[in-house]
Amino acid sequence: MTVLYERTDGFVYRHVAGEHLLVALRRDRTAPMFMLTPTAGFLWEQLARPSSVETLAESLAAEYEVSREVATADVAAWLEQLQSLGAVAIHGGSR
Amino acid sequence: MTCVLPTVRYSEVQGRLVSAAMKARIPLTSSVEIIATCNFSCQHCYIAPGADREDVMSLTQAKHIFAQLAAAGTLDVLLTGGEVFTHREFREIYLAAKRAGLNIYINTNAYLIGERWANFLAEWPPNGVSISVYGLSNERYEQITRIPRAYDRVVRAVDLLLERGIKVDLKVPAMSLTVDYLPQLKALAEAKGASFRYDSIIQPHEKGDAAPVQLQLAPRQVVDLDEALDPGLESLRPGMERSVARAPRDKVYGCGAGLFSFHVNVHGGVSTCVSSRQTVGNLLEESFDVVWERLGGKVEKRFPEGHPCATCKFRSVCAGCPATVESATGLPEGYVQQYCKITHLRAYRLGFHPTGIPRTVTEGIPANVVTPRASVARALPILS
Repeated sequence: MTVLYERTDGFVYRHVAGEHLLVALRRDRTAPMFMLTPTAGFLWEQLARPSSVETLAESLAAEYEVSREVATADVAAWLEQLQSLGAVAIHGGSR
Repeated sequence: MTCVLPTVRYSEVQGRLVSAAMKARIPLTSSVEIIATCNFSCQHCYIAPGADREDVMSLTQAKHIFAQLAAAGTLDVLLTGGEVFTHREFREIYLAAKRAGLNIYINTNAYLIGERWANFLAEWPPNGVSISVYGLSNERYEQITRIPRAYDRVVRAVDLLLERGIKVDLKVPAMSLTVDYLPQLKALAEAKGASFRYDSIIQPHEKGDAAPVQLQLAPRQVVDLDEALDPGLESLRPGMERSVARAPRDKVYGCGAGLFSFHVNVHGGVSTCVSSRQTVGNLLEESFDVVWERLGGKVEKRFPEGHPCATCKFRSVCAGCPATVESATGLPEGYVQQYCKITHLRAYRLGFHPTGIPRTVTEGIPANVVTPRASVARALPILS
């Protein structure tokens, strides 16, 4: 079964003065704000609906003209990091 | 290519944001006054004493304004009053601002912050809470705020917030009623782990009453207080050095007002900052872009011919600013000799000026320069 990932409601994404930011809403986050790279910001926008690693990697590869292997590895690392921050969760899973 | 989040210090992020905002004139920071009335009746206040019951921003209006701010690129928002915790919908307004992705700061007198509010703020943390303090006893508090037993409640609120890891900043209006207590208030802040600041400029009431200005300290008192809190005025030295190294400019505004910061009053009116009560437009009636453009026009103002501030090398460290000058004279390009005297006295004590006496004292103020209106001039202390 394909695992889908989705945004949690613990953060608000902002694109301010050229910076991609995740602003934390609640106390239980490790910092009040996180900064995304432009590619991470792109992936966050792709997560507007629940998506798999494969779907995200496909979008990333198409947008930034990188190989599927590189894109898949990057997406996996990104999802792992955002999961650890509590910004992304497995769709339908417990948070 | 990497999608992994870089680890960057918060101060570095802020520095990058401010730098980019200044270049592109992005309205990065704002204050929003959500209520003009207050549960205190402070003698020095320039907002609440003349406020009416209807001077309250509704939740719907606040949401509309937050949405405009977020769309325009605003990140940091100070919620201010009046007293924000007296707003019946403060909780909803605060959460609406958070959910708009704004970094929230709060101005408060903290009188109403008990465990319930402290727990709420701990769960939904602001970036900082700035608390006005007035003395070290219930009696002194009552003399200034006209509310009994306020000191005990405020100190408890400070402790409740600090215990929950919320950043607290204690600020004091330095005036005749508080001057004797400033060093002890600073010590109190340090003992509790809160930051501390004071403001030596007392403004007339926004609706014109000059009575608060009677509490203003004379220039020598201000600088003596500076020295008592900061022996040698060392914290002022770097700014003074930068200021004298810079060529004077004839532009009235040298701060971030209208460049990357602004203020929204309780009725949606937009001004340069919280100290300026002259609005240039209204976010409840006009688009943000139109109002922001108009504010940009205001901060492009130049000093009139012969204005003493146009050639002053201490202007970027002046005790006053265009907003406080505007409140005293009616014009941001006016001139208040009181502020000039404070600044020159600081420069003298730091060795940057031979006498500490501004040129306008010996040569007079040019006739085309607007000075404080008569009621404010009368209320200012006898100049030393």
